[in-house]
Amino acid sequence: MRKLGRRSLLAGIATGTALLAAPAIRAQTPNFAGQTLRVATFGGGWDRAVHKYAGVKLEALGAKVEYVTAPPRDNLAKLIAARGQAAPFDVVEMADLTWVDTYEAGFIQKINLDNIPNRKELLPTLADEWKVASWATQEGIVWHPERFAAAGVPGPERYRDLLHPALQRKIAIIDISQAGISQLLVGASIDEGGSQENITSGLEFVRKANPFQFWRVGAQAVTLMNSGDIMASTMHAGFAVQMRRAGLPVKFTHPKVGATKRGLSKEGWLGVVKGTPVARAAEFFINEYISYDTQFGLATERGVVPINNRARDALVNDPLLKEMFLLSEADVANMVSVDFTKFNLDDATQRWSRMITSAK
Amino acid sequence: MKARWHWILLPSLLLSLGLLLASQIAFLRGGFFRDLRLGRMGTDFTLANYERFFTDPLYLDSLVLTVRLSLTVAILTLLVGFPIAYVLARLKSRWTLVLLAGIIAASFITIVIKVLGLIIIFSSGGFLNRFLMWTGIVSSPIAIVGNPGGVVVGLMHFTMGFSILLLYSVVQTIPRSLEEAAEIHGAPRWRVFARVILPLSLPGLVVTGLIVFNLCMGAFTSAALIGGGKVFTLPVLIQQTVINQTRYGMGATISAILMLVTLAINGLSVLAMTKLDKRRSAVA
Repeated sequence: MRKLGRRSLLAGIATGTALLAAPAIRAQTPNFAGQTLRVATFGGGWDRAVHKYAGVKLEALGAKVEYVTAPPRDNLAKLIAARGQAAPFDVVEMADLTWVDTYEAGFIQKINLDNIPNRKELLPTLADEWKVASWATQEGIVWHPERFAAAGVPGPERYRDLLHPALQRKIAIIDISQAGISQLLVGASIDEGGSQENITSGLEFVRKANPFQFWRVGAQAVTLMNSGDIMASTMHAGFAVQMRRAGLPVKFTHPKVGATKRGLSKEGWLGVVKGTPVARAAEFFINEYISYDTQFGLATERGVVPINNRARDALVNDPLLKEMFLLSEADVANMVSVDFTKFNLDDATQRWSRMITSAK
Repeated sequence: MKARWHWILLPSLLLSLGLLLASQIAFLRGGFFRDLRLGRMGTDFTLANYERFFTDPLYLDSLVLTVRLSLTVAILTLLVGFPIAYVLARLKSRWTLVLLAGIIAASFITIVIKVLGLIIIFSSGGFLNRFLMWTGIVSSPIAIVGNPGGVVVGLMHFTMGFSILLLYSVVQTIPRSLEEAAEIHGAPRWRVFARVILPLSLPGLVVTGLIVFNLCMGAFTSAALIGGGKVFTLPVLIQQTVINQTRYGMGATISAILMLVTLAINGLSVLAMTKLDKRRSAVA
């Protein structure tokens, strides 16, 4: 019989170990064959970008991912309409107040955070058992420096700078129906001595600004900026990135708010819909959504700010994103974040409608 | 025995009514209960939402605006659409089919694209405003965004295709020989229009006008996008109430009133037409 050499012995041990470990590894890698995950998220190409980075990872494990695209409030309306029946989707993407409403209405279930290992790359406040942050946007003012210079108007530093007489009917403001309005109203209010609870001065700012349009779809403001109808618009920095990439020479201002704050942040949140039969697949999807690859990809493609720390740090290498976004931890910490337990959208909407109709 | 052909319409009428009621009744019922937010409603029957609608200027002004805009669009669409339909119906050219195909194809374009197209055309740097300013017709660009006039333009753009197609079929039912007979007897063109074409196409004009009116009463996109968040028609208020405020009860109340007002205006128009028809039959 041939004598067993040391190299052969080591190779044999390695093979044996691999064979013994294989079932265990297979057991750890989830298999989602035959499962369909329905994700309620934004349209306008956002769904395709999410699928490109996160959805395909789940599909590689056998699942099928479908997207239900609509703004968060519309998706909340779908959950309300389906109350008492099977929910129309398994993962829901929410923003701002919609998260509070979706939670209070009992439409989401707890997330098993053990299945979200990528949360370790997020700030601790951005993931809990009910929700995991999906992106952040930085709200402020997109403006056209050449048009401002031609009109003799200095670049804006605060929201109130948009009240310059030369800007009457030359700016666009986000509509009350859109996520992002709360940041504007709170920011403008605090700037004028108001607060998160008292947004009267924010509404007064909107009335005095006399905008050309209240935009409901970001594309509306982009179209107006392109056509020369407006010189500035309140919107998030991602739009400034998209406009600049399309050749429009715009700048972005993170408005000073009150004495010390600068800029306003808005977060998107992911939740698992209560009663979903594919909870594990939903959690896998969420974990992929907050991964470095997805967050970096969404930031560079769509102009949102990553909530993944490593991805956010990597953005400093992109000159345009570095110019448009506040990326340092200190800057991000100094931004205004709306407290939705204090901001009353219902009341704001009613007062807004009355103000607009009476302004005519 | 005389055949009662109108009974053939009964199944489709019942089906349409059934589908309408089944889908709407549950929602409209909510109008009689107090809102508890997030789509939840109280259990006590109340008319509070209706009382609020009729005592709050926000809702009443919105109702008046919606009716006014819809009526304006219906009249203007008929005024613009009828001559086009007439010319198309009387045109003896192979281009008729091409033009009709063009109108049908344009009707398939989604309203959002149409509206964004209008915004570009009417932008201050757009070719229309540049042309108007170049000719000296206007001294400053015309803006369609953020005012009711713009919404009228948007709604006309939305309804024009349907109305031309409807009016085209109406004109085609009027025998050309009647016009020729009137002309042979010395009637000038305007008289032929006033005494032959108009009376014979009146029922079709009323039906088309009502369809356009109804479409406009419920139109959301044009009012929301061209209105620039400043034109609060009832559909805009409904969307705001249901989606933003999740007050389904109030949303149902506004919807019910919108539907009732629209039905009432339709009913009155049909009644007026029937009376006119009877009077004409009596004269004949």
